[in-house]
Amino acid sequence: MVGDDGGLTQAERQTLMFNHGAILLTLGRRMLLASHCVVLAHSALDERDDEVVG
Amino acid sequence: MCHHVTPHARAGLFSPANLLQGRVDVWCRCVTAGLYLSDAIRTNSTVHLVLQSDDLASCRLVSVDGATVEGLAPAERTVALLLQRAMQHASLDELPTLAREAPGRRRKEKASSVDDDDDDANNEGKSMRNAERRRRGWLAGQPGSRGPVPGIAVSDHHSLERALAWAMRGCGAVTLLDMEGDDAETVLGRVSFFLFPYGQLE
Repeated sequence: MVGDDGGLTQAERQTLMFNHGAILLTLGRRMLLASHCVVLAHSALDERDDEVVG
Repeated sequence: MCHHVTPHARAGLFSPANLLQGRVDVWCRCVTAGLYLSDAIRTNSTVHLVLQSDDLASCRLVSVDGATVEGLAPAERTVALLLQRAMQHASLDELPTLAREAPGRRRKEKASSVDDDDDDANNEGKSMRNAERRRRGWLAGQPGSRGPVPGIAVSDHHSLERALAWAMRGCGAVTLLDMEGDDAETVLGRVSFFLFPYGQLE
């Protein structure tokens, strides 16, 4: 789940974390374009997935 | 998750030639980034666009399923056209009204659009039946009238909570990318994290 340029509100964070068990992660200290976050997340997951499978 | 999405954009009333307006380009890029590999589509992934209104009173969920979506191409414009058709189809009833109130509407467009048909009918004595016929004609020319897009589901919810519950049904794990979170690399390194099917991560 990624937010827009305004990020997520505190209420949204709480909803996601407490009601849906979301894990809060960061990709770094700079705010990235949402679509770039998706690419980076997919890349990390693909890499880890390949390690687990391999 | 997008905030302050106008009713017009939510109904697919945006121009594929100007995707910066309403930042529709970001929606399209997210769909492309979430579903595309170099020469294939991630069939185990679904991209959900959570579009919230200004007053947070309603929430539209647009879900693009990599396994079933048809007609998708990496070009932003292609994605925008598919999203537009799907979103318009879900709002066909209110489309003419929204189009009439669309911001930044030019006078040139007025003449050819359905929007002023009611006025025309009053001013020029045209019948309401005529106006209704034109309204239907205008609507028939909109992309949304061509039917839903296979693989793109659009649903409206009264709250964000309901939209999220709908989007995340069946999900094993949810990660929220936020600058205040833990380092992704560290957390993603936990093998236990992958006990969940990551294709369902949103």
